[in-house]
Amino acid sequence: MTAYPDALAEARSPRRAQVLNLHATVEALVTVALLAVLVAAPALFSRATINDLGQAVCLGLFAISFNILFKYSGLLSFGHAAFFGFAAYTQALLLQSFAGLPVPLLILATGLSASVLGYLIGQICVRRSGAYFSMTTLAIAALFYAVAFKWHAATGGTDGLDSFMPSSLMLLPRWHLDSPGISETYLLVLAILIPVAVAAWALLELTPFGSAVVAVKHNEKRAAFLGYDTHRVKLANFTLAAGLAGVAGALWAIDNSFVSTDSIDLSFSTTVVIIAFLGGSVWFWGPLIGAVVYIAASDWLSALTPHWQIWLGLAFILVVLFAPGGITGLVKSLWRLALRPQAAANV
Amino acid sequence: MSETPLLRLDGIAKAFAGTPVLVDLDLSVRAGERRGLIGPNGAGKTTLINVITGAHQPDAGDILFRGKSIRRLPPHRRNRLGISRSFQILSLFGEMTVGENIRNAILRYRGLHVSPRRLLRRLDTIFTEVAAVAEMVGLGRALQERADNLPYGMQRRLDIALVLAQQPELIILDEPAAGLSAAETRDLIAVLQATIGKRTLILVEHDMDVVYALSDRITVLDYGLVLTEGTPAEINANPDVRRVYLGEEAA
Amino acid sequence: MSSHVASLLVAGSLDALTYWSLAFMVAAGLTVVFGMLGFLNAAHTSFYMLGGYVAYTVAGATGSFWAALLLAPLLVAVTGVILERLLFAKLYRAGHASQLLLTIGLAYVIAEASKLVWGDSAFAVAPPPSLAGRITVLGATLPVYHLFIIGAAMVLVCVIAALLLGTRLGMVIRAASVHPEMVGALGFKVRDIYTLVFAVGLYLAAFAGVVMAPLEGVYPAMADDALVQAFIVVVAGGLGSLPGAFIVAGLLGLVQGFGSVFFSAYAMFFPFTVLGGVLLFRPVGLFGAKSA
Repeated sequence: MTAYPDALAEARSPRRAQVLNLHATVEALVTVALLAVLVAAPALFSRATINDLGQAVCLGLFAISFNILFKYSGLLSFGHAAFFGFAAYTQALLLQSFAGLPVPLLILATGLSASVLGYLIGQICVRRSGAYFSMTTLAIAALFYAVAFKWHAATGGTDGLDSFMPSSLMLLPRWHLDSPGISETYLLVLAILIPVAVAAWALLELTPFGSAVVAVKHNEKRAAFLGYDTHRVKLANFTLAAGLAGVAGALWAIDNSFVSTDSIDLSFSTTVVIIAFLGGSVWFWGPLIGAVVYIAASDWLSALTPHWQIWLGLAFILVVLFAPGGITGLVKSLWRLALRPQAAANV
Repeated sequence: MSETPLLRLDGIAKAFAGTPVLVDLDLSVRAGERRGLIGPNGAGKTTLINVITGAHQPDAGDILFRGKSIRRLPPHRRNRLGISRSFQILSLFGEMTVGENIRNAILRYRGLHVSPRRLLRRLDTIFTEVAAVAEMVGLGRALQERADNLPYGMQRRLDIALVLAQQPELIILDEPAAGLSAAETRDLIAVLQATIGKRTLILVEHDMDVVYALSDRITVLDYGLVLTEGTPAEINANPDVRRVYLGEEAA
Repeated sequence: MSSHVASLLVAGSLDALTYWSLAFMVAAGLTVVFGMLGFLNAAHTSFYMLGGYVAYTVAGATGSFWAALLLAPLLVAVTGVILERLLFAKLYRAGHASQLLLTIGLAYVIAEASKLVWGDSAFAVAPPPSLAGRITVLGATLPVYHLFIIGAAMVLVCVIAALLLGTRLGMVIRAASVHPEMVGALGFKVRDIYTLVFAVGLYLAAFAGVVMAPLEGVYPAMADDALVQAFIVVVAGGLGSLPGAFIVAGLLGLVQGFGSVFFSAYAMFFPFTVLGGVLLFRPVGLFGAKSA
């Protein structure tokens, strides 16, 4: 939720406004630091780590797009992989057919097509909130999985699609990247991902559109009687979330050079829920942290036990029961706790 | 009477599960009028408001706002035409601050809620407007408070502030004084008298002091029908009204 | 020629009835728990899967399918009671989001835990010898086991209906689902009633899992496969409506049973046509309330 304007706050309660400003500033600094580390990663970490990190940021954007629905609209999607998977396949097919066009343009086209899809599907899903929404999104995602599974000609069925990556990627006209290495692909992914994610953050946190989405979440009835077309507001946010999931899927296809039904099946829709809440649904960037932790855990834990996912599931249950804010929520409350004596001393 | 009324209800009927609540009801409110709507519990006052604002669809009859039928419009469209209502059972954005509550009302009224390009922090006029509305209802010092942390009387004022913030042509208040102390009610009357101005008001209220202070015409509902209509003095003198309504109040 | 049509019709009808029975059995428990307790259990079909796996183990140990049919649902229901007391009971009033989150976590854990115990592969479970044969009706060869499934579902429907509508306990349960405080004030232990309903729901899930096992075997993805279908039945039937679930399961059965005869390659899509058809015609589901 956006903090109330500081100009007014300062006039009324200068101390309070300072604390609010401090929180906002710290959040902004942490975000910048987080993104800076991601960008600097190729210089800091090994190739294997960068490989993992590439997967993590794509998953992270996907989890952010899921969380956009939950955090800002209170909608819990059980079928968000439909958009991610759709986009991953679309991206693979576009790369196969239009290798002569700049890659960023193709990614943009994929993201747009995913949001058009979201707009159409959202018409059905956002008619009602709560359980109805969760169950219809799950059913629709299952339908998409069935299509991907059956439509062998386009998707390769269970074999999936590979070798769709052109040996030379066109970034801009007359600027090619020949047989890109892991770090180059990773940076290409970030070059798209960061602006897109930051734009979504700004849209929801800083603009009147975002405050409308939040108003409808908090009291749909009152919002309607204040003149908000609550269906369209929810539909708009659903479209946005689908588009972002689409960009994430497109980047995933490029980063992995492989797309299969794994990226559209139901357990993937569940996994993204777990990633988002593990990282923390209260902070916009929390799900990104969740994705990094998820990939790291799958690396370390899977070396110890083949059944590491039990521990992941148990950790998730504990988070749901005892730390609804996830990892970032925990850090945030610790930070508030640490700040409180200082604020009291200032008064 | 050649002038078109701001709001006209024509033969409105509404039943819930077979029980009629409004029966062939006609009502006409001129622009600038302040209309009190009274009647015993179950007379259909809140249902009438719900029908006017679009929360309920009438079973029969038509609703004309500025001469045009709004019967088929959803609530948000009616609000955009200039009808804004408060709620008998408070309906606020409880987890948001007072300032954010009022901002929600103003952004929509200004049509800015769709704007992805304007930054909230740069909407200076909105902020002064939010502060002015809060000041108007006596919540100027509480902009940063969470709405559901406010005392009940202040929450009532915030509910009304959301209506006033939209500068609607037709203000509909559903029992604005419900649950308020005598002192809070006096303050509320003063606030409303100072802020309604030339706008049209429909006021449902049990507290007759509030009704007499704010209405220049009163309609009495009983069992879903208009029992009578008149100036406060006429209503006060009407024996039928005393029997049906005021008598009950005294008992 | 006409005898061929007749045998197709008989085979299709039996398939339809079988699918109807299975779809209803899987969804019934979910619907009961959701309709009565307002608890949406996304791990419901994980208990269905557990039923199948436990039945495989019991049948292997005892050599008797009937022992498995008797024991496995009971064991799963007891597990469910423990989980209800430890976990679910905390979330009755917490809203569907928390319930869904907790139960998908649980589904995740159950899926991984059963891979740990039973491995990644699928197992066949043999039907009891008395039900293993086939009979011929009007030129159509029909597996006896399908008739058993239909019979079992009919018994279940009758038992549930009799329990809920015909007994004092059923009356208290129905009252507790609408006015828990009132029923509590009358001296009934609402907490125990809730646990009982939950246990019944999970018993139904596991029972369906056992019955399904000889048909399609038990395999790690069976929970996910069934969850989609169960959710479709619950949504299209109207959230929490048992009669609605019964009818939608019937529609699914019809489409699956006869559709498979003509378009077997597209069987995967049949449930979605039913969901789409119902929601197009009635957006809140067959027996769904307008509001909420």
